[in-house]
Amino acid sequence: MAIIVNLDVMMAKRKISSGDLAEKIGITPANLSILKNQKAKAVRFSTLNDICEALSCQPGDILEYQPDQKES
Amino acid sequence: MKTSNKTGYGIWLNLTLAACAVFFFSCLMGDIFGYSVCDFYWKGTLSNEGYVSCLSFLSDEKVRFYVFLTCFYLSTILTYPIIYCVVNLVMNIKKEKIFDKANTRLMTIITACCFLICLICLIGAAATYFLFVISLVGLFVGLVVQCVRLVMDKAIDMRNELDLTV
Repeated sequence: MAIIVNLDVMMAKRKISSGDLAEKIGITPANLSILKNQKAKAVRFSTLNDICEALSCQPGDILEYQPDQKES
Repeated sequence: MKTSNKTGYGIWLNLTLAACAVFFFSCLMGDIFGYSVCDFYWKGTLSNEGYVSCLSFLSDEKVRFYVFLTCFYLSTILTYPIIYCVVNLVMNIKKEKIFDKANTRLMTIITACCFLICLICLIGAAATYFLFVISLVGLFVGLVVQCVRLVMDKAIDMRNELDLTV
């Protein structure tokens, strides 16, 4: 997938654990793990809003676009 | 089990299982007494006196009877996998495994068997018009199951996507 979730980087910068963040934004640790491990297919704006609020950052700090590498 | 009873479709599942049992024993009896059953119906209603076939060897009534008998046996043989799949499908629904890829595979087998029965009966329709009606029924049931399978496939994809929405 071309969209990379850099949530773990931001969490490390803010020195916050997965459990604490999950509790702060009101989602289950399992769902947070799906997001961190790049397995999520979609993110709700409300979740993104809560993450940005909890980590005091912008959506661009968490999400990154990287074009798919085509094999030549 | 509890949920299926709560939602009220538990009774329908049990009725489906009962219908499968009845259908299974009917097929079994059909296979055991197939010749007598076919002979009874052939003499009673199906012989179609004055039947004009495009195939010359089917002008003999005995040949036509054996074509009918062969179609009957082939159709009953193909009915067993259908019954097996329906029973498995009902069991999965009872276990609350509704949107599962296994169910769509079972539906694919049911569809394939229905289409095969349709094809066999369509070939056999050269011997008696009655088999043409059976082939239409097989085609219709196959198409209905195929539609349900496609809807279920889409529902499984949507559910998977929803599960991975955070």
